[in-house]
Amino acid sequence: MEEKNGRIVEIVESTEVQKQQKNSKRNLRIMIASLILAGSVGYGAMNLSQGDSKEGQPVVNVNTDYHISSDLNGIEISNISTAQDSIEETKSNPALYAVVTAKDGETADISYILTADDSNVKLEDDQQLVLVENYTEDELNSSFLYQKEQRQVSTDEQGTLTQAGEWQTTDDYIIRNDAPRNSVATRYVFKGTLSTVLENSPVVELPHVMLDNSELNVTTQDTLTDEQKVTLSQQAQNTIKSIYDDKFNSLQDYQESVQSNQPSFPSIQTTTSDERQQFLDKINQKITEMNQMLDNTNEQSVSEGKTR
Amino acid sequence: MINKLDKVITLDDSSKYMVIDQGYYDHVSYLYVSKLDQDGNLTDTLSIFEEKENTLTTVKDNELLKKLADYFKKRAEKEV
Repeated sequence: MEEKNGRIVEIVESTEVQKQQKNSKRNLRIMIASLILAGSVGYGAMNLSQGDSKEGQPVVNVNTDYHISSDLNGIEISNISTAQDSIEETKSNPALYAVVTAKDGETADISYILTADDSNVKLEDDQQLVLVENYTEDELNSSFLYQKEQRQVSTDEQGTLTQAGEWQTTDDYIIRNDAPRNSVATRYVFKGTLSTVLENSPVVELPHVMLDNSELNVTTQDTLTDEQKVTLSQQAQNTIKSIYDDKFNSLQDYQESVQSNQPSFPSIQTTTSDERQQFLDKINQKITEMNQMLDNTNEQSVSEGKTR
Repeated sequence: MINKLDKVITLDDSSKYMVIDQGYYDHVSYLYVSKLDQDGNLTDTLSIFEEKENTLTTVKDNELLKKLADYFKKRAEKEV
């Protein structure tokens, strides 16, 4: 991966030839920006080679400085041949898709590019199909966007789910033609067809902060950052836990005093057990209220940011 | 902030880039560039760099990178 950090030593005006070359790279600029938006490539330099193609077909070879790649990262050979065979048969449809294999949070390998007719190619769990350019209306309507959600889970020794937290949305989206596989800790929520998504642009919901060659007054503080959300959530949980610990210790003291004074009266045990349950119910209600308050805080903050 | 659109920038490692687009975010200039080959021709290697204190550095913040990509994509789409 190329990582640049260089000092500028000279700035000159480009030549007319270079300006013409720039204009010819317009589609490439759009394509690479789309790949970044889709989360398919991370930082650094990117290129996508569109060398000579046979009979005007889209080219399969993709090279970037991200080592996109001769090694196929576990993609089944049958998938590759299927894709290539289909490309041989597809001559008129210009739509291109990239099959992307996620490597980590920042980078991904583009294994091959295929045409729209191949968009139903079998994908591995860690792969996604990314629309690259020139999509048709039919393709937009037949490609679905899913948002990944995760939750904390606990399992017993047999692997059976014993406890599960609330589902939390992530910033990860995948584009599929079939439903992705869910697990107890991860699920994919259908967000709509690509046409709907592109129309409403919810994939990257941004405050519009870009202006041509001028400075901006909008800051990123218009919305709560993920870090701030985590901090607020953690603070709320700590507060609840602290209240719970105090009250529960008091309850335990009370139970012990009752037991030590009147150990032979089981009815008292029953009473304290009921009280404990009532107390736990109240605590749970309090947690729900706090979570609701936190959600409202986030929504309010975002709303304020948008109206500035 | 200096407009560097269509300028050719040479770095201290002798690498050359043509600025194909430029945007500002949070008082910082960002350049969408194409690397030049030895003959001065544009290559298909595109990068988004942050320009600060006379240096160009790779944009590593993924969210910022997406904001910039969205901006540069829309600008490129408007070009005829």
